[in-house]
Amino acid sequence: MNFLTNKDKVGSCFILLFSLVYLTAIFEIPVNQSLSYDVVNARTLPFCLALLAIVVSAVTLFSSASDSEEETLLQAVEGFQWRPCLLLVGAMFVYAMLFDYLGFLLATSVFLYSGFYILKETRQLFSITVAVGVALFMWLVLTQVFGIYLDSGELYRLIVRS
Amino acid sequence: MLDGILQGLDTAFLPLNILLLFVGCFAGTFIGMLPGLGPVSAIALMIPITYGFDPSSGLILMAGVYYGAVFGGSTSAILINAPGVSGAVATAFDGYPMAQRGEAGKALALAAYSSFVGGTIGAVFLFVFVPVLAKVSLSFQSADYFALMLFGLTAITAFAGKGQVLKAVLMAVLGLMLATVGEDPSGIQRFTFGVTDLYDGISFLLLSMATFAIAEALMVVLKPEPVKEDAEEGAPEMSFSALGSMKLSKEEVRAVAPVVGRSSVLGFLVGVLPGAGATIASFLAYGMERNLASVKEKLGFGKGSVKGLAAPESANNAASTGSFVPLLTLGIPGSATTAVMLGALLSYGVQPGPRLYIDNPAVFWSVIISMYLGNVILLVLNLPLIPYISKLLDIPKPFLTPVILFLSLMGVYLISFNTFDLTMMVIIGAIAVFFRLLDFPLAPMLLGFILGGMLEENLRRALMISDGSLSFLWQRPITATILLITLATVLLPRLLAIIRKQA
Repeated sequence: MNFLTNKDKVGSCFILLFSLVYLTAIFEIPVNQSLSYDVVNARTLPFCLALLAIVVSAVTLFSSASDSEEETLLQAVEGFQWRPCLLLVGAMFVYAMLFDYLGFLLATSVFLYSGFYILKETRQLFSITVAVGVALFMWLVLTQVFGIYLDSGELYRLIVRS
Repeated sequence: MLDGILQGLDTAFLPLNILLLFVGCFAGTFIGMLPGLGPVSAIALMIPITYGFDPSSGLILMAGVYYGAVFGGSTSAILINAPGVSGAVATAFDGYPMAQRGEAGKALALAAYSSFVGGTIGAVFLFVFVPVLAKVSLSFQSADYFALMLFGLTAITAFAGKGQVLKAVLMAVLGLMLATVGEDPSGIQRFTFGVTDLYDGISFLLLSMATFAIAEALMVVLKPEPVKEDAEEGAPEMSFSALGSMKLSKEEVRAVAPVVGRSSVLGFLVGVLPGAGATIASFLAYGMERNLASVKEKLGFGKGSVKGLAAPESANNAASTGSFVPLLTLGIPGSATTAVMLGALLSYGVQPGPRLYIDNPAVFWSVIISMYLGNVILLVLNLPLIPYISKLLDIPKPFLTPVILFLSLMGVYLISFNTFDLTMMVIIGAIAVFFRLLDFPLAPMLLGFILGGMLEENLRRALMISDGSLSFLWQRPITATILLITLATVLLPRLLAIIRKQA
């Protein structure tokens, strides 16, 4: 079985890499000299965990993939709809990035509408109504019912100032 | 104890708490019905809402959501053969065939009654066992707690499927590693790389929402629903106007009564074991009833048998109740759902464990009482509303998924008011999808993350008390016993498997 298509090997490799990075980062942790008599310091547990992860991921890496009947990664993802999924992840990123600038109402409305659009909702007017409606409803509940402050955003302040 | 119970009754019967229980049951049923969203996601979605509440009210809402989600999962399993939760998979075996032959109403009613009895028996057992266990665990010291945390981590083997134990261990270690991000018990920053947003570590809510709610919503988009064989054969789709009668005949009641009793006891006992949970309990109960059935009855299993429906339903509800025993008495979560609830308790400033019984009797007892009330409310509220609640399943996916994503993101934002958390959540959510594609279980990671902090704290304290010697592991009988049980839990199944192979 191809190394790159075996699910266990890919996963173990990922965790092994993560553990190695984690291990190197342990040496950046400052050790409190005043507590140097301590038998356990801030590095102890992370060090044990890194070693354990490296050993277990190495064992998984070398012990898996012997079974040729196992479903490969390519077989497992066959027929998957990557485009809408990646676009939704992108939309969430943009939402997180623009939240402070656009403010809750505008950012949420845009995110929801783009989500509906990505998932191929064709009724545009209805989508806009639902997106704005949900955002407005949540804004009202959060600010008026629960008394939570939600920033109106840089853009709003710019418009008001001008 | 009586004082505590009275305090608990007072708290549980406050009008606000009764209302929260109603809301929780209703919201939980709705969320549980949606394929992909189970009790874990439902409770995770509730955490931010309950931050402003006092701990009792927050937990009461969550108890309602939990039971509602378990029941909701059964509803979608019976009506559309899509179990909303893994614990309802066995329910679909006989529930869906009943619905197909026009007995959906009866199947739903039977599921509700069985769940109610399962929950009732579970609650009675909880009432009896929890105080006893809590009293015993009052004598626990840090060494015992450290051993307990290790025992809690053995639950990960139960989350692992066949041949997945190593992967589950890896994920638990990954969770433990993530738990070390931020300030350590002595105030030193670890793995923050100068990013101030990481000084307090990764929030539990962020991790649970990203790995469950966001990842599951993305998986629903990623994985197109398979076309059902029945649909291809032109079988009529379930119509909610054709639910049929909800009444059970006397013969049916007589037939299922012992089944429900047996399955409830089995379910509770399975639920108490760390990691076992509702899914295993429901399958065990289904298997047990099938084995006990006569040859003629056996043939009916999988084709709409009332016994086949009643057994998993009562077992999964009793197991859900049983899983609260280790959480409330020892402070270790027995399932992914109770792991999320443990995180919620910690965020309220409530430390579950033996002291909860002494320090917060109102919280302790009100949760137990509310669990039972949740069962009653489910029966009186949801049963008549089933035809209407079911219509919520008709909300198109293009609208539902972005709203779920938005609610998950908002849930985390409303705690920290920091958009850095949103970005981190999206990244963790994407990584969680990657792990799900690779069949690496995510629940052990969450378990490791939750237990990580407590494990380190107790280990450090125990080592400090014993002057750095590892003798604390065997000096106290409680510690040694728990460690022996932990070892047995890990090694016995392997040894038995080897013996069976050689035989």
